[in-house]
Amino acid sequence: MNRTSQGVARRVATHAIFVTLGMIIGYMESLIPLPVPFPGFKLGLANIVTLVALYREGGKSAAVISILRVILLGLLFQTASMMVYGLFGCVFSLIGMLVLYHTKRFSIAGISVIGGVLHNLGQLTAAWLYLQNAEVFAYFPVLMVIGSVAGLVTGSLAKLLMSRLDKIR
Amino acid sequence: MDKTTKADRILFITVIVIAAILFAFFRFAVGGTPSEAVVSVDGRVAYRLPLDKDTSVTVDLDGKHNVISVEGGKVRMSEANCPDQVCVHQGEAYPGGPIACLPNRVMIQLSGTSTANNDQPDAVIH
Repeated sequence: MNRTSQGVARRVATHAIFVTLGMIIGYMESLIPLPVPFPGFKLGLANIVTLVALYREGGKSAAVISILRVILLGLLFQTASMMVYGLFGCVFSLIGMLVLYHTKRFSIAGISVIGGVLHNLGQLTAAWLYLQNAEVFAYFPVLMVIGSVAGLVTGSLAKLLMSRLDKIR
Repeated sequence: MDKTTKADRILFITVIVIAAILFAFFRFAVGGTPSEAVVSVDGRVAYRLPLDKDTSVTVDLDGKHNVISVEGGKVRMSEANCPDQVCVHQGEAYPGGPIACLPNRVMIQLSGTSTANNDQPDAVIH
């Protein structure tokens, strides 16, 4: 095997691992019902994987990995409309996180916070288009707070994970 | 990765402040005293339920089943066949706090102007 094909093989393998990890975390999170009766209330633990991918493999890889995760989870466990909500959230949050990442002014906490907030905005946009009713945006203020706190949690978990991974290397 | 930056803190505070302003806007500016609950199905208004009368309506369409009930001036989704049941657990709708059943495309929101009473005079002067 020459060097380039080795590089490709490594990339395929690591990307597959990232997608799989994200799917497992996302699925496990969906199994644990949160006692809060509010639509869109979740931690978004799978974003830990996206964040690690972003710092380790770069923006393009992080985007591919998280979009693949949402599509595969949707095909396996969800309805078509749930998958579309997931994709809207995923794409919105990716755009925000990649922009902030490239400014180099934010730490993982800020990037993760914007990811959480925009994920919710994306899902609300999908709900708005689907229900044809702009009043769904009335949920946004509460979801902004939930999303940013969830972002802080997942961001610090991703940071912790990466510091441990550094020791293994 | 590194340490939390100044930009992080500004971002977080901005998000919380915007959320608070939007919350106040939805809660008070849009509010007023609601007089009816508007039930939309698939993006179209299906029912207008006056809040001063205890009623319940059932939506049975294309495999969806939702029961919306008005009781004591409050409206809630009392039954739904969606998988997540978020709409049922949400309880009562409030001004700026609609109830949406996303999987079934059913939405309940409160409205201040009751068209149900529009055919009656506002006041009668003798």
